[in-house]
This record gives sequence, C-alpha cells and structure tokens, in this order.
Amino acid sequence: MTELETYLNAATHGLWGRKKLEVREELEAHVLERAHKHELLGLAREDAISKSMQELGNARAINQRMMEVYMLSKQLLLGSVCACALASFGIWQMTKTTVLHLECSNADQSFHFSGTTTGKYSRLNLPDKSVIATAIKSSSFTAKTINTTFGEDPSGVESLQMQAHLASFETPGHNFSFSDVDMKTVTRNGNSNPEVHCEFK
Amino acid sequence: MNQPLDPNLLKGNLELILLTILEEGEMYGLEIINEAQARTDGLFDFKEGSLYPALHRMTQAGLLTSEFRESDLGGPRRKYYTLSEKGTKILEKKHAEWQRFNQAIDGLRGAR
Repeated sequence: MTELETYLNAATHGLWGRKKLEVREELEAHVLERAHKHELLGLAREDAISKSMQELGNARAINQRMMEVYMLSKQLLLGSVCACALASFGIWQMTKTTVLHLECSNADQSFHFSGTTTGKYSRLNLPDKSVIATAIKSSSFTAKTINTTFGEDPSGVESLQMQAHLASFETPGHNFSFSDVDMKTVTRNGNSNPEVHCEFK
Repeated sequence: MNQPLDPNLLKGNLELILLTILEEGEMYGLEIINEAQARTDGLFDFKEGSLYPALHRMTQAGLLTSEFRESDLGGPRRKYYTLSEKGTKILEKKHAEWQRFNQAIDGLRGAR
C-alpha cells in the first residue's frame, strides 16, 4: 500500500458507500494536482506527494471533521425518519440518539448480534420484533450500512462499540437480539481498527 | 505577501469566505485555496484540511451544489462547487451582517 493510499484510507475511514468514494477521489485529486506542481518545481514524485499530503494536513483530523459532517447529518435524518416511522406504528417515541454496545460472535460465521442500548426511549407499547422489523423496512432502513470498529479478546468474542445511525430498539428491562443485522462485508486492514460494514437485511 | 491572519478569525468566517469566493463561479477545492490566497495577497491562507469538510458541510446544508468533472491532468476527477440559490441568499445576508458589524466597530473607535 502506498503512502497516499494509507493517507486516503485514514481520511475516509468510517465513511461508506458512494460518499466514501467521492471524498477519497476528491482528496486524491487534490494531492496529485498539488504534487504535479511540486514536481514541476523539481521535487521527485514521491517527495512531491508527501509534501502535498503534509500541506493538506493530518488525515485523521480531516476524517474527524468529515465524520462530523456525515455522521451528524445521517443521525439527524435517520433520527427524524425513525421517529416518524415509529410514531406512526405507535411503538416508541425516541428521545435521544443512542449508542449501541453489542457483542458479536462469529463462531458459526453468522455474526449474530445481541446487546442492549444505552439510549433513552419512552415506551408506549410492548414492542414486537416483527412489527419493529416492518417499521425498519417501511422507513427505508433496509440495506443501510453501519460503520464501526471492534477489538478482539482472546476468547474470540469480538466486542463492538457501534455508533448507531439506524433506529435501535430495546424492550425496557430486557436485552434484545438484532436478528435483522447481518455482516455483509468485513474488511480487515491489518490494523487495530478494521472497518466492519453491517447492513440491515 | 501579507502576514497570515489569526487562524481563528478565518475559521470563524470560513463559510462567508467560501461563499464569497464561489460567488465568482464554480471552482474545485484547490482552485478555491489558490483563489483565496491570490485575491487577498496571501492573507487568507487557511488550513487546507479544513476546506473540504467545510465544503461538504455547506453542500449538505444546501448552500452549494457539487459535480465531478474530468481533470485536464488526467487521474482522479475534480469536484466542482457552485453556489446554490440558498447559498446566494445566505451570502447576501452574511455580507449585510458583516457590514453592520464593521460599522459598529468603526462606531466604537469613533466614539473614543
């Protein structure tokens, strides 16, 4: 992997889909055009690219700001869609964006999740998973990608801390299963923070 | 070349600066940076890394529209940004606010 690829990976880490590709292409175009000018002034190609990346700035800082742009807007958008959908089903009234703390076991290669939310919800009626699944699908939540990071302990159980962009549900006082979540692709970059992409089926 | 301004001053007014530059017409990121430096004799030398998140945030807010086009250098495409109708209105509003602010500061100095 080249230095530029490493830089672009870091700058776009956590973004997903078309947005990730677009940000990556935009930053790459910037670096290469800057580098081209440095080359005209006599720098070697690799040095020119390094200098351009330095001028563009710390990739993690760019990534953090980009994530603020897209995570926030995504949360607000999905939060409002979710609230409308759930309100129409008369199940929940969402009062706070939640962060999920989940555990993931891949022993059977199925990546079945279970866990609890830390978000606060007002419960209106007893939830039913099939109704919730319908609510998710009816609110355009199908095939939405979640990006997250995880670590792995010696027992092979991978602990996830996943920022939820999608509706999350809980039965107050009970854990819940995310049987609608499936790991579609797993990309391990060989570092401690591999990208994991999850999708609601 | 002028001494660069206080970065916080630029950061606090980045949206106004970008809208003002793009009032001239569509530009891509590096072009915006070069234009800002050229038109202010180097005074507006903002951090490049802060430019793209700001452009994306403004696009998300509907102030700008964007479009990829092939680069004359080949390689990855450039992303061009254009002021939207909403962005134009916000720019007018921000310019008016800025003028009022300047007048107020001048008033304070004149009162000494």
